[in-house]
Order: sequence, then C-alpha cells, then structure tokens
Amino acid sequence: MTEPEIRAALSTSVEEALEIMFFTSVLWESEKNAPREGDVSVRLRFQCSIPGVFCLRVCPKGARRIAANFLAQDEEALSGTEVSQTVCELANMICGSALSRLDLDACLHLAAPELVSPEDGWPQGDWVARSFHLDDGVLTAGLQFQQSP
Amino acid sequence: MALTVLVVDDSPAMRSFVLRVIQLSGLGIERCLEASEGQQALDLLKQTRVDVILTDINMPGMDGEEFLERMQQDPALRPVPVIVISTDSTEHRRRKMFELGAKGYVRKPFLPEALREGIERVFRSGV
Repeated sequence: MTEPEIRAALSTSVEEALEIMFFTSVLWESEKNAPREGDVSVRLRFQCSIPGVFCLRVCPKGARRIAANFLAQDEEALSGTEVSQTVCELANMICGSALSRLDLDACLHLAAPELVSPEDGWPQGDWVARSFHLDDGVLTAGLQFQQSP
Repeated sequence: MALTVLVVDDSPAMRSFVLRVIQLSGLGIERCLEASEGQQALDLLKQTRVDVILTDINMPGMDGEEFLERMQQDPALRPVPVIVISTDSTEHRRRKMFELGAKGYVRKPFLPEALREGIERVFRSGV
C-alpha cells in the first residue's frame, strides 16, 4: 500500500459519499488545508490488518449544508447536534469506504466517531490527507496508519 | 399488506436517512422501528413482530455480528430477514455476514434505489 494508493482511495471515497448520499459535489482537490476556528472535526479509530486513525474536518457552512442535504431539512432548522451527528456519519462512511478500497484483507472494526478540536484532534505524525473544495467551503480528510504502509 | 421494518444503527443521522428512504420507497412499509444497537433491537423484537431488519455492523454495545448470531439462536427470530447496511465492502466481511444468516448486504454509500431493491429482493425470495 503506497501513499498515492491511499490518496486515491480517500479521493474516490470522499467524492462518492458526498455525491451519492449528501448531494454535494467536490469542485477541486488540494493539499491539506490548515484547520480554522469553528470547523466541525471528527476522529475515528479503526482496526483492520493495519490499525490507525481517520480524521475529518468540515468548515461550519459546509457542514451545515451537508447535514441539511442528508437529513432533508432546512439549514436554519438544524441543531448543532444534528450537524455534528451527520459529520460523524460522513466520517464513518468515508473511512469504511476508503479502507475497503485499500483491500487490507481483514474485517474492519470502526470505533464510534468522536468530535475533537480542529486544532488538536488530529494526532501528530505522518498523515495522508487531502482537502476537498465544495460550494460552501472545504472538507479535509486524512488517514494515519500505526505502521508505515 | 402493511409491513414493519426495524432499523438498527448507532448513528441517529443514518437511521433518519434510512427511515426516510423506506417511507418514500412505496414498498408498503407502514411502521418503522429504531434501535441503536443489537441488544436494544432484540428487546424490541421480543415485543413486536417485524417483517424485515436493516442493521449496521459496527455499533457500540452489541454489534451487528453478535446480533445476527443471537437471532440465529432463537427459533422465533431466525426466519426474520436481515439486510446488512455497512461501509465495509470487503469480501471477507460480506461472506461472514451471509454465513451468520444475513439475506442481503447494501454497501454504504448507497443510492435509495439500491436499498429499495435490496428489500424487494428479500421479499421476492420469500424468506
């Protein structure tokens, strides 16, 4: 498993999940953006043949739009909890999908996604992460394996 | 015939999405029940007859694998068809869930039609 393979799995999984279930298109993709205050940030630990951590952060406006699309509600009517829960579900979907694409030859065990601080929630060390630019802001997704892939 | 469906998933957002898809599906599903993990689902099944179950795998508490195992051990619950909805699309996992008695497997993310077809297939096969 190489870094370009992980990047490709992330890109395909982000685009597919956003388009199919959150009715949101990725306009373009870039290197990882820096976190910003107010970002909704989620961390998810996983176990498979190589354990690791998946992180996702979404700018506030993008998170609200994604949640509104997924829950079929007006953005203004959504609570902060509903927005957070939807971003958690998006993280679960992208992470499971990306790891399945990487063909790690083992059942995946995904822990429940947890909300974390955008600045401190992403562990230190080497990440494979990309930012995806949407109509309403930026979403950044990253994978870190405990052993170097 | 009015049908009852049980959705088992720890994500309230996902349960909400699945229930909306089911209600709009035109499959004649009149009643939708929810549980956030396997044990809660088993408790509900003791009290209520259900025609089809849609379950996630990775859940805190009793996960989808143990839930299926427990259903298979109970003669009253064994005939109730279960469709797994999961992000894990590895062949290893699919095989395991079918061995545990699942009748269908829908990979997330999914189009609403895929879920509808999965439910229809289960009913058509008469399980």
